[in-house]
Amino acid sequence: MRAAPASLDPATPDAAPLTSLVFETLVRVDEAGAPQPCLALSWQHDATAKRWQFNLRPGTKLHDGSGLTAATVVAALEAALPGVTISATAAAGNVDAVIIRANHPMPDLLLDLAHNGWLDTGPFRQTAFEPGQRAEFAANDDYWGGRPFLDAINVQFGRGLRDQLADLELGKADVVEAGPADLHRASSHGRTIWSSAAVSLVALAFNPAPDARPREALALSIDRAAMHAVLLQKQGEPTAALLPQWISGYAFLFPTAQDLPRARTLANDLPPAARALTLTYDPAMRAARPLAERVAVNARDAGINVQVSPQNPHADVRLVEVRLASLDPEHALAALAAALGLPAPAGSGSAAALYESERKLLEDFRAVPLFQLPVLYAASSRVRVYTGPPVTRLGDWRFENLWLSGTAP
Amino acid sequence: MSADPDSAARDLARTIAAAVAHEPVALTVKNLSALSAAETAEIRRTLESELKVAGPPSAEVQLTISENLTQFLLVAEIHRAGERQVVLESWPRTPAASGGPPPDQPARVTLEKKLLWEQDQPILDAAQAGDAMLVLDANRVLLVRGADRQSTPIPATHAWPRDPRGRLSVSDTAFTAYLPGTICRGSTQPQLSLACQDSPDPWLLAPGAIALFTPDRNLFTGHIDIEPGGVHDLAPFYSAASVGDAWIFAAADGRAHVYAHSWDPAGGIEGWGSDIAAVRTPCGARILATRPTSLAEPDAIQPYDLVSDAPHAAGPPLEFDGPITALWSAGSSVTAVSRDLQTGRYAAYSLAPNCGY
Repeated sequence: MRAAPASLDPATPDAAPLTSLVFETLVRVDEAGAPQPCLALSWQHDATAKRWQFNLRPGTKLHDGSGLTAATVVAALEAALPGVTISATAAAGNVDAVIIRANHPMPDLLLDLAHNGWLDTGPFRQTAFEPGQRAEFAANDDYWGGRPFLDAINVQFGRGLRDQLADLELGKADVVEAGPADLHRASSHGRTIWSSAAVSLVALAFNPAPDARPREALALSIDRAAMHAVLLQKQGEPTAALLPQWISGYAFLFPTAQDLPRARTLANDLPPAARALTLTYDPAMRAARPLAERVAVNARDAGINVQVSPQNPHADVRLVEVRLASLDPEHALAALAAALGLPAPAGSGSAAALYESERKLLEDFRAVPLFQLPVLYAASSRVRVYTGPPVTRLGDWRFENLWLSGTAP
Repeated sequence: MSADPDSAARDLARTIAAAVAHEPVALTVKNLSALSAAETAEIRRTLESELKVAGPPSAEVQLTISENLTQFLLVAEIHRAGERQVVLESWPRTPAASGGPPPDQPARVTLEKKLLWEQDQPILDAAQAGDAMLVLDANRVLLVRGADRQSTPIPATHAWPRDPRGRLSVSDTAFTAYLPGTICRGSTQPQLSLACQDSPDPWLLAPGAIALFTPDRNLFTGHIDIEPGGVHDLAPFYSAASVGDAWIFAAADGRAHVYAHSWDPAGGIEGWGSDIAAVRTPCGARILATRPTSLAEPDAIQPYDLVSDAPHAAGPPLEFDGPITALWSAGSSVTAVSRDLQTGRYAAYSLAPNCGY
């Protein structure tokens, strides 16, 4: 993988795909977006959705061999869910249960719980971890869902996409990350492509400056459709919103069309010094260089001179890729805002309020969303999938259902 | 957030009407959601009934019906006098997202599939026996314990039907294998042992329930002895399930027959396959039923509730790549056998139910 996480802490964004090998939550979300039982076997809430009860899955063991208890879950959730009261109780049949209470309705609590309160009950145990280098995982024989088919998983960190593709082609790796431009090559020779939903925001993030006109001019000059068709091979979707459409439901309200005449008008009104910008990118990011160069070409058409240089800490604009951190729209928006250096959005509570928060975040063009991309993986022909998708909507790994042909499942 | 699409549409119409000073509007509707054309038309009708759409419009309203993970959204873009105003209303997609299930709403049951064993020969049943697993086919009983494999042949004292069926009943280390006209008793300890004999004795249908099996066919005769309930002679059936105080029999006539506790016929169920089984879930007993497909088609297994003797889907179907050739209850799980239409191999799965709302 390209990322080089320093730890397996679920709070570490880089560790996201690895987390699901080891850790689990009370609830998980299926491909249709519906909450499904995980460590909680069932749940119910009152009519106002202020009090929820989660009945724990009996017989579940943590990786240290101890049984999963309500007290363990409470401890894990307390740090993740500030502002609510969490307590342990016993449900009918002497089943351990957890009660979550708040003074306000929590209609999206299940989505929160799908990515909060991680516990090490997952299908694989961590057996080795070298920060920034590699990690090893072994099958959890006591996994409540049954022992995984794979005995072990070895993950190498910090590998560029080209190196990963070469590893796949040389048989050194069974599963690798794939870039949009490499999909055709990656899917040849019986290999398969796995994809998440559009979970990764590609955007331009500007350094703070009082005059919004250069930013607006640059934003209006960008031809997302051409970049999407050519550079991204139509993977993902062009966007001018921070949250993807499948999370917010209103992303289409933010127009993505290029408006070169308006961009030129804005640029013409700028003093010459304001028509020059520097743009930087992380070379490890997917399609970063061609995207950055295309932004510069579009900007030039509007009369703005954009100099592109990788890893330039003093650049005016950064081309960044930020992965969705939560299925809860409000939490996801707050995390995206933080990652892009934007002010914290106002609390919402309704779709209309959430839209207003997002509109305010974008109105001065401090961030210019470009694309929502899926996370893509290529798997060798010997990797087989028994049930369910091997990659979730959010891009997390569900490798307990994988097996390798030539070995007994 | 509104409670339902009708209230959302009415709330949205009121907001739009206020924004356009109650003057006529031109309304266009686009549906980006999973709502049907009929539901979309109903929303449009509600809006048109609340808004003035006759006469020269003072504003254009573009309504988009959209959705996210938890809500459906009505998004109206109001274009008036060169200005654009956006108003939104929403309602929950599922009871779990808001409001919650009423206390008497049954839980949704989903099935988790776990592969137990795969082989070329048709698997009749598979069952856990302590730390080992038993696999029954028409020729042998196989014991799998870690990497250890032991098998004992089943003596062929008479010809099997073309579509033989069989069932395992396990109690600790002892087990019984029921085959058409043959019953085998064995043990998994210290080594796999098996003793078979031709026998017309009934098969164990469920705890406390036995039924005669037709030796040269693939179905039960209909003669059953159930405790409590006594002996009954019903129509021949392929499989049976008990939920609450009702019994359901997937009969040879292609229907599932329901019998209430008095053993009076309580109706028939169309649309189920010949394999049904009861499963104990954390939220109560459910019936799992196959579809009425042929052996050349993929099949699926779906959980059902029996409400007033009528079936109600209790969760989504679990799809298989091939036909289901066996389905036996194992108490809190069910063993299902499916034949892969591509490879022709048979796979036995354990299906575990999960409950949620």
